[in-house]
Amino acid sequence: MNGKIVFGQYYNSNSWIHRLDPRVKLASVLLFMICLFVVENIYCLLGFLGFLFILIITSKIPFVKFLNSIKMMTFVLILTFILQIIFRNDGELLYSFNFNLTYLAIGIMVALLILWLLFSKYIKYLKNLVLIILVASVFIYQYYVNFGGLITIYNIDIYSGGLLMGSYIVLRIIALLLISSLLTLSTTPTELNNALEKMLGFLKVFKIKVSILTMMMSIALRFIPTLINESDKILKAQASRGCDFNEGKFSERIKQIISLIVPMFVIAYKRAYDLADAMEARGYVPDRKRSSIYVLKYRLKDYLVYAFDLGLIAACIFVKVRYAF
Amino acid sequence: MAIIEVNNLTYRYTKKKYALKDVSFKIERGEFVSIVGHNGSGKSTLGKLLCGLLQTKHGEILIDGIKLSDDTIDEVRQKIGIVFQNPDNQFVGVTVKNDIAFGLENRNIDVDEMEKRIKKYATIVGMDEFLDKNPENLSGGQKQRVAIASVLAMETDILIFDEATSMIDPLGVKEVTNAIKSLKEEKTIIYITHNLDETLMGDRMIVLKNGEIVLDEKIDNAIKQKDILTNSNLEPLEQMELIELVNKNNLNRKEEVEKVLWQSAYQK
Ligand SMILES: Nc1ncnc2c1ncn2[C@@H]1O[C@H](COP(=O)(O)OP(=O)(O)OP(=O)(O)O)[C@@H](O)[C@H]1O
Ligand SMILES: [Mg+2]
Repeated sequence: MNGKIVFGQYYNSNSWIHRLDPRVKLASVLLFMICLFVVENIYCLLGFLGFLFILIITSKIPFVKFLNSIKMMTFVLILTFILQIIFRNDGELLYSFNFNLTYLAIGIMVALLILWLLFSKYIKYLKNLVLIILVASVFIYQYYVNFGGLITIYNIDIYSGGLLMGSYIVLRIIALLLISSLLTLSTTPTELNNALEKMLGFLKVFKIKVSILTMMMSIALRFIPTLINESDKILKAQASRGCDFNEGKFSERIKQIISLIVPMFVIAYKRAYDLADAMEARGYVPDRKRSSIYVLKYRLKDYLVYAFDLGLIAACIFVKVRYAF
Repeated sequence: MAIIEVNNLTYRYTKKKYALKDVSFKIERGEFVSIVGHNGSGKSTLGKLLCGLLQTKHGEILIDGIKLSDDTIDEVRQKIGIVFQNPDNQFVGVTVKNDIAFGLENRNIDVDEMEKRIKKYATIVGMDEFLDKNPENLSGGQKQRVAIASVLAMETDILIFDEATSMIDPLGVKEVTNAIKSLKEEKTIIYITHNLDETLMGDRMIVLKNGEIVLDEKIDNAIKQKDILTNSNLEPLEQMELIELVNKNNLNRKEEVEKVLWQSAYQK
């Protein structure tokens, strides 16, 4: 845990996207996501991606920041792609691979698995890549080598439909990741919270107390860095007593985690108690009308973005209706 | 008319033990009153009762002539503000500006006025350059000054400081006490501490022991009541001890005084 938690990804490069009204950003991102699901046309999707890249470039945020969020999902992306390729069989048959399943191959797989379990914790960099290479080499082996007690021959057929659908889904997930990263990288959590408060205002009609919800949100946001500091202190204290959070058996790790959680709760309780007093003393009464230091005011460019949004959704619906029949 | 009047105030958290027992006093407008006492003597309890965070039926509290009760609590909170001990636990906002704004937002004050007050009071405590900073990245003294600005911005007549300097480093203490001293002219101040040195800022001292008032006098008299102070588990002022030393040994020549002072220093 030490220092690995990065709270709030906000990256301030003060671009036009950063300066947009957070309500506009939130609405546009939601709309963009809906559009991604509405269109089922690979060219449109590529168009969206191209558009996204233009946004990313003009946001002046280093591209590495976006890659980070994709990196976390690599495994899911690859798995989705492979499953699509294996299980979809529409379109035309492109390739058919025959694999020889032998006793030797199974033995090698088991050996590799054991090696992986033993040594994976020493691999510092590109762990996923190593895993992928290992899995791939197992299949390459089965493709070329057919001795060692043949059990059966199985084949994987790659159809154009699977390839298309696989890349389509993967691209769509990437687009989703990029657009949501763009939102969180260019908007502070507080701004988002404020936007939410204003946008969800209509829920008052249903007797939902939005102001309390967003106050809870903002206190949570305010507490996260404090609690991270606190847990860091506890971890250091435990470490100085010879307790290593990255090693040990499962049962030991559970114990270690409890030794972190219990003091955390005690501290959080004390803080919450004090903060409640401080808030009350400063005149906070839940759900009473309060003013806000944030005035959100639409400017011309915000309206332009809204207009663009409307155009986008119209175009999507048009494409959908036109090419559906 | 006294701005604060407390009559026969008694408070218990649990059945057995009194946190405050039959406490009465009056504070005039513009006074700077220090409340001292050992750990658990009831200082914080008194502070919380005064600003309505705790309530009791036993005894009454009048703030500016208004009797504190459920109906008047809003009105009273417009007159009284409190700064707590732990600077980390009174931050509501994610930035300094945000935090100062919190109390003003609660009063439904409009944005222009808020901006004006934030600027003004952040400048008074010397934190105007930090308005967009996250409090998490400030020093203890800075955090506490922000807490003071947050309370000042509400423009209350009375300010309570509950051990506002006890959790920060010596440099921070200096910053904070300087900020508090500068308010002496305009505000009625109740300064809760267990450090007799800090009571010297004030005009008057109230000593609490196990929830009861054992001393309530002008500061220059109070500070000399060595017996009462030591009886209340308070560390007497160093100056007091030195003066006593000089008197006891009947010293009048400079060399004698120096000799005895050094002796006592080594004995410590
Ligand atoms: N929330 C609570 N529940 C129960 N008992 C409490 C609570 N808060 C305080 N007490 C008790 O009431 C008594 C007075 O506490 P109080 O916090 O007012 O003392 P204090 O003078 O502020 O002490 P300190 O110097 O430690 O801040 C103590 O005996 C304490 O144990
Ligand atoms: Mg206290």
